[in-house]
Amino acid sequence: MNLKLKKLIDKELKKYPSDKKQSAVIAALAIMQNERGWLSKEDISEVALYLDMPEIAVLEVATFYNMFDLKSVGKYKLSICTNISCMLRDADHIVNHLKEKLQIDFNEVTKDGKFCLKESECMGACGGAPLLTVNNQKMHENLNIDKVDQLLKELK
Amino acid sequence: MVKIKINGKTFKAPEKSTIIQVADDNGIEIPRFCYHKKLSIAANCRMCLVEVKNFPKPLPACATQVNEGMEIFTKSKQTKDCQQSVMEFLLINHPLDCPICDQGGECDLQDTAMAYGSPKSRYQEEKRVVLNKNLGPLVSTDLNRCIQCSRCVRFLKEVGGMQELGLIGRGEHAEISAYVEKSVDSEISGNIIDLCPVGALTSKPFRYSARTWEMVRKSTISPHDSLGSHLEAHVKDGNVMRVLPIENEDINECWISDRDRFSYIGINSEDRIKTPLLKTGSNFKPISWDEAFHTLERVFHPSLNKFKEDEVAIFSSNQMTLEEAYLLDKLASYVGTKQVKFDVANNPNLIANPSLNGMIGDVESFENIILLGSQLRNENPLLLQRLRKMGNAGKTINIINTVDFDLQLTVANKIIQPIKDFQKTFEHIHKILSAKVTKKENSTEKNIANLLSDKTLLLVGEDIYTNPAFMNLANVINQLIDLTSIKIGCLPTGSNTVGLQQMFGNYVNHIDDKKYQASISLNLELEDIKDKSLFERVLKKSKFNVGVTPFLNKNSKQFDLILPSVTHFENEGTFVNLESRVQSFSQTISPKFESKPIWKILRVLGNFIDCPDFTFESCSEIKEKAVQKLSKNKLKRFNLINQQVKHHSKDFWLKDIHNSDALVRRSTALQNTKRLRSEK
Repeated sequence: MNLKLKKLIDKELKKYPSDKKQSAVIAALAIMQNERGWLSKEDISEVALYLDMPEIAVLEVATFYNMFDLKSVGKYKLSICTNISCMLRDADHIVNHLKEKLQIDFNEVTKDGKFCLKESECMGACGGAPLLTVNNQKMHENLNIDKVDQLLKELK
Repeated sequence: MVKIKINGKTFKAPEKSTIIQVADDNGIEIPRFCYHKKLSIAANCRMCLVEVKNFPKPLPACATQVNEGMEIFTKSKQTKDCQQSVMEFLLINHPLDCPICDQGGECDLQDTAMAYGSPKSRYQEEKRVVLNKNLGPLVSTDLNRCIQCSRCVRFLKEVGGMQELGLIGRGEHAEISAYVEKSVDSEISGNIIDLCPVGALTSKPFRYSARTWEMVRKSTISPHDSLGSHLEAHVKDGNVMRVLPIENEDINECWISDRDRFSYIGINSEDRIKTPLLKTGSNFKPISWDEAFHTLERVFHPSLNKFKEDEVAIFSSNQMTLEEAYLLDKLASYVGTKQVKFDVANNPNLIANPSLNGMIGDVESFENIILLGSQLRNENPLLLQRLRKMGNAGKTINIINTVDFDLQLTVANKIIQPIKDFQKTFEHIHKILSAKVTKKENSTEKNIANLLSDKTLLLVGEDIYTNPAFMNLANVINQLIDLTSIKIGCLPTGSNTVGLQQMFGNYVNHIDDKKYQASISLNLELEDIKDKSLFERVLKKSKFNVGVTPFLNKNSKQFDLILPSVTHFENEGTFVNLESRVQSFSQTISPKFESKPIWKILRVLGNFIDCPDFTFESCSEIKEKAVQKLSKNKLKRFNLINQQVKHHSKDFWLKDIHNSDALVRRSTALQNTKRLRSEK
């Protein structure tokens, strides 16, 4: 774990009592994932060691939340919502277009390692349906085929 | 106390108790899977849902505290509907493989499904599949059967001290797992087999070997540590098939250690000796018991061979029963060698009555514990479990030791130093308290000194109180007792160490490095002895060596006559545990081959050499005599009894929990576990 990562995690640790380090486990895992793209077993062991937790307890958290990826998700992870609001606004059409264009199914990574497609649950922004997020960070709303194509072009 | 109604009947219950506790106390049945009285509350199985008046929804009985005037219905329509629905949910993914499941016949899920479930399932779809994990040589997994109650996870975290299992994934994908290819290495891990309410975690050595209703249950006492845990051997066709705990809140609660649970595997080891063996040249020849006793008669009959005092060396293990020790003592004084040398670790006995002062459960009533030099995790894992519980409850556990053992508990203050510095540390603490030190200081000693009161218990490990350095240390501790009225206790390790000490007092002595006329070793192997070379030297010099042992071992060649004795499960007798509790046990199976219990061997030997008053018909008859010899003195201060110690082995003896006696050593399953790496 490099100094930059340690500093970021230390900042989170300051929010909790010193004997309750495990409170920062979600934050620490998120920081780790941001840095490394996805969480390998080694990354999880590092977090466990740093927070003084049993490795299995960190793995429990990492497997519980689906924003944590335990396998490589390529450079860009596109999480597209298929719940009721998005579905009614024809998310399926967008999904099929993406699948065809990227030549992958859900949970797969393109051959060039650039994109991964994930089916996600409601993100609580139904006003902008249909929508997707890139790497859990940036949300793109009111999608249509043109917008999706434009997005794929922008993501290099 | 609050008044509540369950099914229309009024009960008084302590405040803050939960519905399920009140129901259990009053014999009202509420089905449950995840709730266990010794573990934290998870409330995730929902099986214990009950209807409570004025609540719109049913409440989990395990997680709901009682309130004044609460009215609970455990048999109402709403409760029954809930139970049936929860049962249906739990069975959705549970395979219908009861006929090939080891838990079948003693399964909580089976029983609860019969009593509370619906006879029909509406589920037509495919069941989920979970891959099994390899958790080591003791626990076998069938994770398709798991209902995610998380008892095993909570046990290892809370009682075992280290979370080795976890519930990974969520929802339909949740499964029990250890961290990537790791095994479960806790020394009390076998308890998760008992805790598992279904057949997901079962005993690996016992797998597919018997059904619960085929076995006869025989109770016995654990021979492996000084706690004296209550065990239940399940016997089929004259063989011990498995060992389970008998619940005893005062001693082992509902747990047992892995070596208690799996040592039985050693009974049928290939090393078992079938008949008496006599050395002829460099080989052993099988002989009959009659011939064996005649051989012994020629050596030990006083009319043929009168020994002087201290001419026979008797090595015995600290698992020797009171009855065996009583007969041995009687025989020894008859053949002329007055001083019997009982010893295992070859440690000098320095103080009177080394035992736990008070009962095991009382330990938990103290506010502070100071653990002075003990290998508790290797010596007495269940007592350690109690300390862990105290640590979790916010009490302070302090450690002063020569080696930094990882006890997997919260330690408040820790001092690691060589044993010779212990005295200085305690003198310093004494100075702080008697206000001889005026300057302010901020040290670990100061922290410990501040804790000393009559709510503090100082527990001294066997390594320390048998070390000659303890003679001076004891005086300092005695001064501290006078000054602060702290309580003290010793932690002997053998299942009958206390009994033998109480019976023989000063007799318990170490073996000198000299020539003996004859030696007798009882149930002892080289690995059991701290000073191995001394043992070998004594045997080499002595003219006639008798080995009484169930198993052939490395040092068998040194014996002139080997008599096959029995293992613990074929023996009967009495142990005195570390709190001076006298506990008798009987045979669980009859002796294998031609082996005999040691008390029977000694009894017959007594007749062969015409020992007077040797007409005991049964073990209980000997017990009556033997218990009269037990001293009733309690340990209040450290009274030195042995001022001159000629010999002692200085080396620290690191014990291995799965190498503690002949039986454990031959339990293949235990030998395949990862040895404890408790040294940091």
